[in-house]
Amino acid sequence: MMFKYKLFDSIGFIRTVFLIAFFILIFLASITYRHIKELDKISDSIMNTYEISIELGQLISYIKDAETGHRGYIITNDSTYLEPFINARKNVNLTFQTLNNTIKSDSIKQDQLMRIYDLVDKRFSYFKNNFSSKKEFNDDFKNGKIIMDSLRREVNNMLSNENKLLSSKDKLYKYNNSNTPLIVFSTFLISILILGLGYIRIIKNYNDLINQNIRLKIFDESSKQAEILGKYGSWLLNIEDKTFSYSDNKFRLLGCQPQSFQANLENLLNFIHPDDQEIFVEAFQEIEEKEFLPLIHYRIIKKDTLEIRHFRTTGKIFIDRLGNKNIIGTTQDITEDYNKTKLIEVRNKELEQNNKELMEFNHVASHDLQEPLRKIQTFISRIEDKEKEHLSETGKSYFEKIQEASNRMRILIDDLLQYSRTNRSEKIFENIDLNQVASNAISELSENIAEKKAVINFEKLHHVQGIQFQLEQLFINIISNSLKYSKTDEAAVISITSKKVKAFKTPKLKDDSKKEYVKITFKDNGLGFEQEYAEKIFLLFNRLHGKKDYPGTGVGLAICKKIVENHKGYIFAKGKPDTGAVFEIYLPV
Amino acid sequence: MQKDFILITLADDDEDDRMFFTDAFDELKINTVVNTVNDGVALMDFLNAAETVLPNIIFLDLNMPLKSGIECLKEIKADAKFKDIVIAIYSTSSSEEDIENTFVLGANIYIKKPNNFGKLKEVLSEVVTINWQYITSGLDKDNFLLRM
Amino acid sequence: MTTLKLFLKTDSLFLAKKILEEKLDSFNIKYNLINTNEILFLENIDADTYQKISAILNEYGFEIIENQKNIIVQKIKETIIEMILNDEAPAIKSSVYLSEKLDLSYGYLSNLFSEVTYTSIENFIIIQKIEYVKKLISQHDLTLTEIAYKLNYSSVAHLSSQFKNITGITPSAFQRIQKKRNEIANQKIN
Repeated sequence: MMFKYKLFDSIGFIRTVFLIAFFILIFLASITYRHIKELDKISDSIMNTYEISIELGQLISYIKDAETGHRGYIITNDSTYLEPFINARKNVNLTFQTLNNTIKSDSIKQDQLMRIYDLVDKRFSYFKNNFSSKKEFNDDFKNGKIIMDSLRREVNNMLSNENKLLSSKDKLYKYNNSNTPLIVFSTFLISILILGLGYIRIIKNYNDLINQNIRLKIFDESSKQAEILGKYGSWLLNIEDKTFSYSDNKFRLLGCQPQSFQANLENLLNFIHPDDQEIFVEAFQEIEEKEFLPLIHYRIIKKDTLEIRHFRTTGKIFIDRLGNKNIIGTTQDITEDYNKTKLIEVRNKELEQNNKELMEFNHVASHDLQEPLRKIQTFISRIEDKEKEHLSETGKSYFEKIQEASNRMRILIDDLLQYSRTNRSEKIFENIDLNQVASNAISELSENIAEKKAVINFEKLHHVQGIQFQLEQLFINIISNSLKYSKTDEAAVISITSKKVKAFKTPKLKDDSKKEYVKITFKDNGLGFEQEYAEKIFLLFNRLHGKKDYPGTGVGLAICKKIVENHKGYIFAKGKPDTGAVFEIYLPV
Repeated sequence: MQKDFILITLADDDEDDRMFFTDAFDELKINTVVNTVNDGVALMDFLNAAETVLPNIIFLDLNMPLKSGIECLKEIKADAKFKDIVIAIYSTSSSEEDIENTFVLGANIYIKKPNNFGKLKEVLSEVVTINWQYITSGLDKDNFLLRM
Repeated sequence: MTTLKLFLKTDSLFLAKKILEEKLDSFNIKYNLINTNEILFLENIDADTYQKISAILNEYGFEIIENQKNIIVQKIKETIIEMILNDEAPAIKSSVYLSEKLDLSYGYLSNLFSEVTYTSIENFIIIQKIEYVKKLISQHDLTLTEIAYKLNYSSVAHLSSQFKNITGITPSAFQRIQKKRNEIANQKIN
């Protein structure tokens, strides 16, 4: 059961989501703020414009009042008509003040206002009570009207300017803020979307946590069962207060009910076999400095059944998120395995002993059989020299049969002896030069080689670790075999080559390691053999030809195999009938 | 080989082998005087005896009771008195290492007991002949190694 | 204890001469020493003195050769040994060499040799050669290849083959044995 931990990225994701939402909100707020500010400005401008309009309107009206008043006075000569006229000037001044305040720093508007003020002043200059002549009177009124017209024009100008300004501001405002609702709305949508995704994610993570929790529980259960089945228990040692937390099965291993007591070093010692208590205590004392518990083996006495069980414990340090140092460990009841191993060891010893005895027997038997056989043969030769002619015909033929049989026995015993010798020698390996081995072997067989007019080639053979005599015997046996089975009409040619190979590159060896071997190849042009017998020829006493056809007992190649095995190597044979045979020997470097 | 005869001693515990040995020399036309002893102790006693005329060649079987051939070999080589004696190991088949070991311990000759009387005569004749040549030609006895 | 190991090259002829001179001088008789195998006494010697001289010479391994045949055989042996030891001599056939050196027909020499020694000249030559090979091996200086070349063998294989034929063991086995013998001898010293 495997979990996949995705918790980490969901936290990041949530953080990102909220961060984005935060920034979006700030963005929204700033846009809104700006919009409101703009609105304020516009409304200020509008207020401004309207104020100016009103004031200007009032100005005109005051002047009109003054005109009317003046006209009335002139007509009636009643001073009551002069009231508005007198007030007018005051009001006009007030109006100008207000207008000044309203316009403030706008220089264009101030200029305009100055002109209006001049005009108003001029108009007021034409409000006279006494006229020296009718012409002056007419001129005054006429000028008055002209100025009034100019004033009106001027005021209308200013007003229309204000309106233009307002409308352009309005356009600007509309232009700048036409997108605002759209942006706000889409931003709103996006943040809703992100929040929505975030929500989904959180919910998913929550579900995952729930699932993982479930799985953990299942895992915990199966872990408990595994502990029971595997006969082990886990524990946690708190280094500070030296208390143990035990899994249920740990208690059971000790023969107690699960969680029946608070385990610590002292009460644990009560379970441990007195002879092993020291080892145990020492190991646990070293835990703190070493920060792990190496594999230790000790015995306990089970509380319920009082039997001795063998335990094996190991542990290592685990620092939790809060920085607490704990040792997490496992203890296993290895009693069964321990006993089995002991049993196997005993059996092995017995087998080894048995094997050794058999070897000895083999050697002694072959060796001791030589004596009587030699005597038989020597006496046979004596009889042949001296007494044979005294035998009858049947006697002679029987005698010959005895000779043949004893010769055969001789060869057999020689081979058996040689076979038994390959096992007996001490396995002291030295660095052996195979070139030397090959020349020695060829020297030993020089008569046979000369007789068969054979040619043996070898060059640049490698060095191996091995036993000189055995390797020489190996070469002798193989070459001798090739000589024996050489073709009668063709001179035997045997070539010996060697090269280094790596184990994993040679599938035959069924060894995947990087070990290096020296591969020695013996190739001959003799009679060969059927490939199906390739493994049989190495069997003891196995022969592919009848004993009348070729002499030999079938031990030669079996000896080769034994020697190769002594060197932890491999031997393979390949044969092609009537073409020749190839022997491949792999010896470790 | 003409007037002098060669003194030969055989140490072998097997009665038949002693018989083969002496019969073989009887049939060879070489002037030899052969005496036999039955085991290693008898051999050393014989060699150490004051009245003994030391043999030219000792044929030594390896498997003997009381004292083995190897022990005798070591004792003989250790004694300066016997340095001129040629020692021939005369034994049933041994392993290559064992044979080489006898040479290393100082044996001059190793003979594997033949299983045929005719061969035995040949071998013994050859040994005596070659030994004679060593003596007459003043060859280095330390290098006298022969295996049959 | 530190040990010193020396390898000796023995000049047997020099040795023989020295001993002869030393021993013969003790008899106070005038003599001429020709090589190491001919003594010409310039005075008469009585039987008694002859016995004494004979005994002393025998002690050192010198044998007085009694008859003519033996003398020739002795000469043949010496010539052969000389021929083998002499590297510079071109590879003349030994029969020709002997015949010329001793001024006698090879056939005669051959028969005489066999009659006296019971072996053939060829056999003797081979044995001497192998002896020399053994000596060279013991001296440690040369490899088998060099030894084979020095003694005019066509190859190391040929040398090994003949060596094994004569001695029954291979030259490398011989080398091994000598080495182990030396090791034991050294251990005994220590």
